[in-house]
Amino acid sequence: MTDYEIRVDGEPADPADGWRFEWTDERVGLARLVGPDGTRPLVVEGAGRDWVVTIGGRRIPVSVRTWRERVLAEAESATRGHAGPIDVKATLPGLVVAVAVSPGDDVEEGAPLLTIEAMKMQNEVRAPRAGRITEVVVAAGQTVSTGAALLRLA
Amino acid sequence: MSTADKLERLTAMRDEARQGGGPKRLEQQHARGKLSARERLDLLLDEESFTEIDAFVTHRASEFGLDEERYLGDGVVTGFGRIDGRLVFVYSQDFTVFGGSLSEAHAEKICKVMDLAVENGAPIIGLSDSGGARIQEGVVSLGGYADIFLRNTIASGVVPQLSLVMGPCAGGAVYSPAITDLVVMVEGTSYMFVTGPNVVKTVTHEEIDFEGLGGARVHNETSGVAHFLAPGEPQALELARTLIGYLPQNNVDAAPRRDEWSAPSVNGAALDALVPDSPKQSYDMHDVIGGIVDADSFTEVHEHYARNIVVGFGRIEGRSVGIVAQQPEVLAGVLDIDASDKAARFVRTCDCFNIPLVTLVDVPGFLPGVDQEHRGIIRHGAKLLYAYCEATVPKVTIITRKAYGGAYDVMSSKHVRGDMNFAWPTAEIAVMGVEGAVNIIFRDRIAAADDPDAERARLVAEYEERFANPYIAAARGYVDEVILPSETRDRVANALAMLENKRQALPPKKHGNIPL
Amino acid sequence: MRTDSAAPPFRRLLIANRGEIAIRVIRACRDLGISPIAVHSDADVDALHVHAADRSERIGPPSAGESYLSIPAVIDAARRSGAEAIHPGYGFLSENAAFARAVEQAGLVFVGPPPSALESLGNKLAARRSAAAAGVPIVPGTTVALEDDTAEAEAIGFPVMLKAAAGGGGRGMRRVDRAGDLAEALAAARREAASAFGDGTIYVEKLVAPARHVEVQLLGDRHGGLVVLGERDCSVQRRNQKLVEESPSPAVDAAIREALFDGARRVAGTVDFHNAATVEFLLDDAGSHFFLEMNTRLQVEHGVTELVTGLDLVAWQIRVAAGEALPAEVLAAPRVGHAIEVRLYAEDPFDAFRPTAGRVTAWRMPEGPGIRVDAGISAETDLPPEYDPLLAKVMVHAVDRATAIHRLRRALDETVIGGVQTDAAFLRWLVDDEAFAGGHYDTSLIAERWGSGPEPTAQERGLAAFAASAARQAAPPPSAPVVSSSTSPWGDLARRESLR
Repeated sequence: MTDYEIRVDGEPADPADGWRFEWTDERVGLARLVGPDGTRPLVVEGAGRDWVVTIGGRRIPVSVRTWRERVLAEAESATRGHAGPIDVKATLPGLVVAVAVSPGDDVEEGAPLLTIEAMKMQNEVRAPRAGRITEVVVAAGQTVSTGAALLRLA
Repeated sequence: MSTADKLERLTAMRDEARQGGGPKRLEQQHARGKLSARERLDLLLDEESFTEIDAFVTHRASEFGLDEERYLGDGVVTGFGRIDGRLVFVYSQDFTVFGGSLSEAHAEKICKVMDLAVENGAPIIGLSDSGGARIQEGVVSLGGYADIFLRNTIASGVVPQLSLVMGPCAGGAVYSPAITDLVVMVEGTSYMFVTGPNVVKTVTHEEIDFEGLGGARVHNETSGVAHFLAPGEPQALELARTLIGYLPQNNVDAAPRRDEWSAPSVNGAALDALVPDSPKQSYDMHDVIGGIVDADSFTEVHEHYARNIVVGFGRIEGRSVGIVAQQPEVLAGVLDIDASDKAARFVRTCDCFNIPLVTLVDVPGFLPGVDQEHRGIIRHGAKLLYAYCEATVPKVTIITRKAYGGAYDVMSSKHVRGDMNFAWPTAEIAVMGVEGAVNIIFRDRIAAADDPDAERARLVAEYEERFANPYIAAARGYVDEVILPSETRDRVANALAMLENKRQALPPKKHGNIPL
Repeated sequence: MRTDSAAPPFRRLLIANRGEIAIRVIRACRDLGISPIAVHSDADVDALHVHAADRSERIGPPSAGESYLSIPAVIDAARRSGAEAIHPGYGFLSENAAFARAVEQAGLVFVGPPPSALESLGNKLAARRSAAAAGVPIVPGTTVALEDDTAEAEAIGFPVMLKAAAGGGGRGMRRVDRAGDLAEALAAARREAASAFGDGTIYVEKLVAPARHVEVQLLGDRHGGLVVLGERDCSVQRRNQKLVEESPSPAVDAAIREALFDGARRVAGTVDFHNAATVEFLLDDAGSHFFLEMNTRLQVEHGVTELVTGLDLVAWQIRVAAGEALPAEVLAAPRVGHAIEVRLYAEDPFDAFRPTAGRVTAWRMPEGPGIRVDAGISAETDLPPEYDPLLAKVMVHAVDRATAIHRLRRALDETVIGGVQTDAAFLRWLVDDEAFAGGHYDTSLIAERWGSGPEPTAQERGLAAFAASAARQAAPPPSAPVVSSSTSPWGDLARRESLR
């Protein structure tokens, strides 16, 4: 059996030994465990990483991860927190026509921050990642050149 | 020595080879937030699919006390394995052995897997983590590099080549990734430069650190040397697996196709409502891409560079495609030097490997300006035009809004052998924008009018009505069909299915002379 | 069961209900040769009871107030379908005197006690007075609406239970522990009662605890015939709602039984009574019994009595409504063996029996000797949130209580429900609980012996871990890119030609 990292209801757990798993009706999740002295019916629902096993009438969430999935998940959470504050800079010269955020606002990655008019077009400047606006350096009506700091994102 | 002893000796040597530079150096590697050479391969390849070769190769140098210090494998782990069941050849430099530095033997190992890859028609993935040439070996080491670069070049366009820069990659070593098709850098722990900060300081008196000179962000955002910025090593390796999933094994292999896919995540109604009424308002081209490709199938390439054009791999009904699209939100989607370079390279990468191209056009033209002209927008723009003309893979084009001037020709138009050319009703195919055109054509009439502004406005409205639409082009067959945005997905999928076995060849030549 | 070939009591009968009770009544109709007509709201278009009937009339949108509780909608449905009688099931309009009258005014037969009985006994305060007047002991408390001063309540002695006169079935009750809380509790109770039942009248009873809840089943005809069909113990309750019922009650000896039966007859005698009804009593730990209320309808747990008596109560309700007299075999029906019912609800017994919404996927009910299941749903059913979350009733019947519990254990082991959390785990625990097994339990059982249930055992966790990983292992791997095996010579040539 593949070496999975298993968590039952959020806590690490080892799979029981000496049982065999059998689907009774896979479509609706009916299954049973066949053991040395008896069988236990259960319901197994889910796919991939996330499962809910109903045993003894109780629904228990179980996460089953391959080693690779675990490493990736840990890498994701490690790198998510580490970025420091950044300046969002103008990538083109133009006129700031609208500022959509204020200091203190929490924004998601891709959220529109402000609009610069250039090349006869309104260009949206979007958040490069999620974070909180700590400072808005420019105001509507101001012209900016390429590389100018527009706002600070923490 | 008994037979049992001999068997025992092999086991011991295998264990020794797996140690690399030893536990202490491995700990240092981990402390720096980096994985070991073998751990990286574990993440990159399917479980238990890796076959190592040349594990017992050692260096041949003896000067400078090197004969006292030999490591099995000589600082690089080479071999082959599988990604999603498909064969790939790999080499993974081991920073714990002599800082991953390249020796004659080290280079030979790499060349061997590259030769195997070409003979057996499978991709090459290189994981760089090296301090550079092994100085003690002198010019022999430089020769080793050259052997690698030559093979990168010979293999270029034969099998896909991916470079993952997982640590230092400096001096001459940088040319290998530079020649390969796709370069991934890991944020914070990787850097590339030809000349390091110390020498830079002495020669040009500029003070800068490793990260600022050649870190992952610099190469993704500023120089364009790197195509991907991975937040960490596991993500970089996962990304390599994803990229391989779009590419065929070699240049005679058709692009892979999945047999299960989901409908696009942006629905037709959203596409119909996407283009704003006002020509001054932009929209996010990613939404259009999301309305055409299978859900969750788009991987953007060169995301942080020349953001006025978007390129990347996607899938449509399971088939790999290469997407090239203007981004109206950035610089109005004009073509400038960097965008032309970025798109041209991507178009040619797809053409090398039989990946159909889907081009979304909303281009107001090339970026005007002295800087662009003096830096050669002519040459660089020509690259993109050349790339599209040369490409014989299926080319499906959709004009969403503007397609002005020369840029209209360049962007996979019917004239450069676009196979299926569509336009949305919001498309405006014209020599230039309405205002500009009116000012030129009717200059005298406007000047002579009682109210020039009103006359101009009237003429603009008239001109817009008559010319700012796709129907004149459609009337000449430059556009095969004018379609509703909500129809795009089906039309493109249909076109790609029709074009699956397209045959188109260029006259025989050694190679063309793309302006560089 | 009809053994003669006489004509069915009605040609068509409309069931003004849904879920398992609608199916139950439909089955009784089939047994009697009556064509059953169902009704459904928009949420029940595809429900089991709709498919079980000969036809179904739409009565409104999902909200109960605009469908199953709408008197005009139901009467209209009956007219459209040509039904001659309406069986109201339980809950909804079953004890609504106005509905019963409307049915009769429409020229149809209401299958239940007469409207006058519904009216008299529907007001629980009035019922208390009637019972007291008939010499039946009632729970100490007021027989008139409670005034605003605390004197009455103090005279009774705290803790007390505030009750809505127009409530019943465990609803509209509020416990008050101290005199200081009374004023506020009374104001709130009046507000809630007015909003829920349309009548804010509150009375007060002493809180009898610990208590056992024992009820008596009555069946009468229009010709003066009346039979007591035994008692049921319904003490296993959560939030004053029953989860488990059994007959006979292990708390009741022959003397108490006789007193309960007598009390039930007396209360029934205070009204013009026929058809089916249940008289509910509270027993305290000193062996005293007190009249609680009389429910002028069929109860959820009627099947327990059917198992013990071998009678089809629903069929007799219909036959009585058609004017038949109860024959001698019914009037003298013996009670044999022991029956227990457990209710399967979409509720989480590990979280205060909170209702759980969702879709039932897997559905396996027990079968075999001595087992009866009345289910309202089948596999792969979405549970409409507008209605009661009762999924099914599992009943067992055996020669004695111990055997019945044993059989119930097997039945629950066979029961598998997937997709939503149910109270099955609690019911399974109950059959092993010492207090239940010994028959000495009361209404505090769930609160004091179950609480919020045990944590999963280490073995259960290990099995869950194994099952999920085995399921993942067995699943086909997600679609990997097909190594493109191009089957077109043209395409192969294309790729080769382009190389130069």
